[in-house]
Amino acid sequence: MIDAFIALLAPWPIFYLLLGTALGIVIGAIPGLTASMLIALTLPLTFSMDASNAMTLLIGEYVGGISGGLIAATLLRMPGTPASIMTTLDGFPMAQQGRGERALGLGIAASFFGGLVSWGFLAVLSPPLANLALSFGPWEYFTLVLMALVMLASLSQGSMVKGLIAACLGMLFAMPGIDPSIGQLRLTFGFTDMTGGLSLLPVLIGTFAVSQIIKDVLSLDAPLPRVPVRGRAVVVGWRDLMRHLPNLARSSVIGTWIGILPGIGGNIAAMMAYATARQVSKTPEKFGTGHEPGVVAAETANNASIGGALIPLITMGIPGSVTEAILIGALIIHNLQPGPLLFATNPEVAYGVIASYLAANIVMVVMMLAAVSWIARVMYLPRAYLVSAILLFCVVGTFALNNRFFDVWVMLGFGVLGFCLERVKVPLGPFVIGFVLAPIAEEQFRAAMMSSAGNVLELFGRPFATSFLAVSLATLAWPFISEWRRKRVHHTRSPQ
Amino acid sequence: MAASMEDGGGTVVPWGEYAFALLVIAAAGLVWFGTADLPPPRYEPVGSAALPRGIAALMALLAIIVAVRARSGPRLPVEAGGSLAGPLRVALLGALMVAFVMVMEARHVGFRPAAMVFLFLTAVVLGGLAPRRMAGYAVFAVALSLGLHAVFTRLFYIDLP
Repeated sequence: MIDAFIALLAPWPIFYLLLGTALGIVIGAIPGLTASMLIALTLPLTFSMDASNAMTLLIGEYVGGISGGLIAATLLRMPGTPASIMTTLDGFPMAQQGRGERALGLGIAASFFGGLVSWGFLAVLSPPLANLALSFGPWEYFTLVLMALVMLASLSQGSMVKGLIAACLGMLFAMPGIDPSIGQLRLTFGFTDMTGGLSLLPVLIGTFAVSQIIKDVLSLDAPLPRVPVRGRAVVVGWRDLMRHLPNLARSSVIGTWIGILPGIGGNIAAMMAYATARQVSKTPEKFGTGHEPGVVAAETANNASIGGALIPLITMGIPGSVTEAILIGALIIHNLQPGPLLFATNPEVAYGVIASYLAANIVMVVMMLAAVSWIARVMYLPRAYLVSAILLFCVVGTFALNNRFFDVWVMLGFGVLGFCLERVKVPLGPFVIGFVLAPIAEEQFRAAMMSSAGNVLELFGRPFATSFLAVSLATLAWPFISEWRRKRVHHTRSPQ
Repeated sequence: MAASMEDGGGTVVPWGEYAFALLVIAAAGLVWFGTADLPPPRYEPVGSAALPRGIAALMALLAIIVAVRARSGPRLPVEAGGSLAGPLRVALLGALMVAFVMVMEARHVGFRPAAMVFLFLTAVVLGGLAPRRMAGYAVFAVALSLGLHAVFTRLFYIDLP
């Protein structure tokens, strides 16, 4: 771990860390542009980089992107990223009351605190979890992937059935090409370009960047409110820290834990932390009116979820959220196998991720405190320039992958598909994670069936695999049980 | 999107849900058809076709559930019609992107001139036709296309058309 921090002090890692965090903050501050989009668009630029530097850049963008969302949420009442939705509830009212600088200062400090606490969990839990994951066999991996997909599909916003359809669709799109187990060509429908299957990068850029651009262009006419930020954000003092400490600690743990659970992102973490803070508060009626604990809870949790989500990523190769699925893509592009072996075969990358996360949090807090009023002006950049630049970059970045236009057409197709899926309220998270995890799921399932000579019941002799399967089934059954209990209570309480 | 039609009673028929379910079932059918000529498993209990078919079958079942729920669920009130400006803008941008990619794929025009035209026209579609802004768009288009070309070819050693 210490070697990883020392390695970060070299010129190029420092440069990528500063660049990534700055880019992330700026993009995160602009409504309609997300950290996921930025990371997906940056992937082509990392081809020529060392894997550790690439991950440093991307982690910086991730931390900056989630933190930057605070600015638009507070000043425009528009979340810069989905993770900042809850911040709008109290951050914007504070800005309207002339306390915008204080809201930003509290949010930045809360983000940093949440990042620090989740870094602690990441640093302490990752090595032993990776060791534990080394004992996993194919049944454990298959059921773990299944659990991740089911949880993501169930806990994504909207219908669970549509979430499951999204996951299935994503998995099916990963199937065309050469079957990795026996080299059989399948589902290419005679197209030579499909022999290698659909590449990850065009699917990611299309699904996240292009579909988001389509949404933004549709709502381009909506004017942005202007709430000025004078001077720098207020630096939170020791007294403020002590006053908010219980909320900070509680929200950090909630955020980290939500982040660890496969498939759930910063927006859910912020919602749960906000709801808990309101529940335990002596003045719950003040939430939503410019109440400081609301901003603290939301921003602490959404940043803490990053560290939590990195834990399953680097220990088991399971994405904790959609953004981690893109980070898995980065590892694959650099010929690294995500999973517990990362600590054994490429420890500089695994520990580099942990070190970069802490460093990015430190850089984030310094940058945001120093430059928040300048960053706020970026939100008002004309969309004509931003959107056209992003579209061009999507095309060039995708083409650069394999120097073929087939990938660009795939990107455009998935951009349209992603937009259409969201319009019918099919979540994109399960779709992308299904696409990313399908090869792992199939490989592990077939290996498990071969090792057990087709006897599925052997799964039940393995405690971890059985537990993962039980959690999957419980997650699937919970909405029905919950509905049944609700109807039963309603029936009991209603008059005869 | 409403993606539906008023049924005469002031509420919408969820045609969007039905269309979605139908498309998903069609996709599942396509997968089933596409895996029909795959050989049976020889050295393992599960062959190449097993997982795609299993997922396709599950997906079709879920799509049927979506359709049944849409039929039996509450009808939503009719939404007020929206402006056409947004969809028109998206359609124009889509056409520009397709044209840009086709022109480069045909290799009649190189990346730099194609990107300059694409950027300029895209900025006009998004920002409007005000003469004062056009100069800005032109400078932006030239600068970004030249800059991006230099970055990819000189820094990353990636050839562009």
